[in-house]
Amino acid sequence: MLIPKRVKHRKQHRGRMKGKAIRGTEISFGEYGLQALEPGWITNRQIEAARVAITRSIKRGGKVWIKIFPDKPVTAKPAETRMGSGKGAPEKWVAVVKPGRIMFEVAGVSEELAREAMRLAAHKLPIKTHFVKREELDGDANES
Amino acid sequence: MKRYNLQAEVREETGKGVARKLRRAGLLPGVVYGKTRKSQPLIVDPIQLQNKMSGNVIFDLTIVDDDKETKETVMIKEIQRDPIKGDLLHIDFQHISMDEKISVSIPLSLKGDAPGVKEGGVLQQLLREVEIECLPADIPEELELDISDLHIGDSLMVSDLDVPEEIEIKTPLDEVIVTVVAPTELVEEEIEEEEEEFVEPEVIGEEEAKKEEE
Repeated sequence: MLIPKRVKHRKQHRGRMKGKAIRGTEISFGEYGLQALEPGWITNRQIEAARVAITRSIKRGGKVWIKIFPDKPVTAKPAETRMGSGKGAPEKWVAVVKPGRIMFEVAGVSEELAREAMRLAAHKLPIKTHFVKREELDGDANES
Repeated sequence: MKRYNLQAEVREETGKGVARKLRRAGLLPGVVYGKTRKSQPLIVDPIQLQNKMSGNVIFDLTIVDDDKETKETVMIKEIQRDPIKGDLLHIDFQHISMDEKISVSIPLSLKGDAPGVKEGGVLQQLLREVEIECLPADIPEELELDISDLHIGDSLMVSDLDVPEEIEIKTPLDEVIVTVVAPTELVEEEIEEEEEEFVEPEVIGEEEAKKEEE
């Protein structure tokens, strides 16, 4: 699963997810992509599950790109603990995703297969997404 | 090279408030600039731009300033769009001179069917545009690359492009445009049923801080 090799600080503030994505809003490597329509935290487990869904769906041939990286640690307090006594321990890694962000890209497969792969991947993610094609970023099909 | 007429009004006010007001009114904020002219904010009617923005297009721009009208030759330098809806947000025009060379990006199109794909390979296009330098009138719509001799493991580079004499390619000639790679078999990974423990990465500077404390 994806985690950073080194970090500057063990714990981070939660931050806010205002606005739309500024970068990573275009298909840069592949031919088809999965674009976020909502803001959200995508954990490294969800990214991995989506990746596995895509690679299994396209079986052989094709190439997959993951364009988000979970570089934000999220902490949690153990269950049934009283409030106070400091911030909890880091529990998971998440990627902060804003609307418009292309999260996955695929190339070397037919559009039909790419659509199906992205549909399966979208089911592993906690946000609404849609399928996009190169040069047609205002894609019409909302997959989830 | 396609050439269209376009009309724009001078925009006196700048800033996001004005730009948003214009967008709400169905207009498009823009700007024109160039080597020999000062930059000038504009208002453009996006309906005029419909179906005119694909590829490199030359516009004969008429700029209306109250009663004055000035004409100049421009090209689209940048288009800003809403990342989700795809609506136009802003447009940049660059003033060009028809007798001065300019550098532009030209899309590449692949011609023919690669035999490597029939052999089971996967066609990978790594470069979709090349940078060229030429006179505005000589700008081609696209550059074609014949891939009908491409077998598995073969690749074509920028140097393989057939370009007319008047066009100079600025992209490094050794950059690969397209390649046919052997298909990758999916290795069925064992699904780890066990709950993975949270792995903490190394914290930069933490060890040094500990040593200092000691």
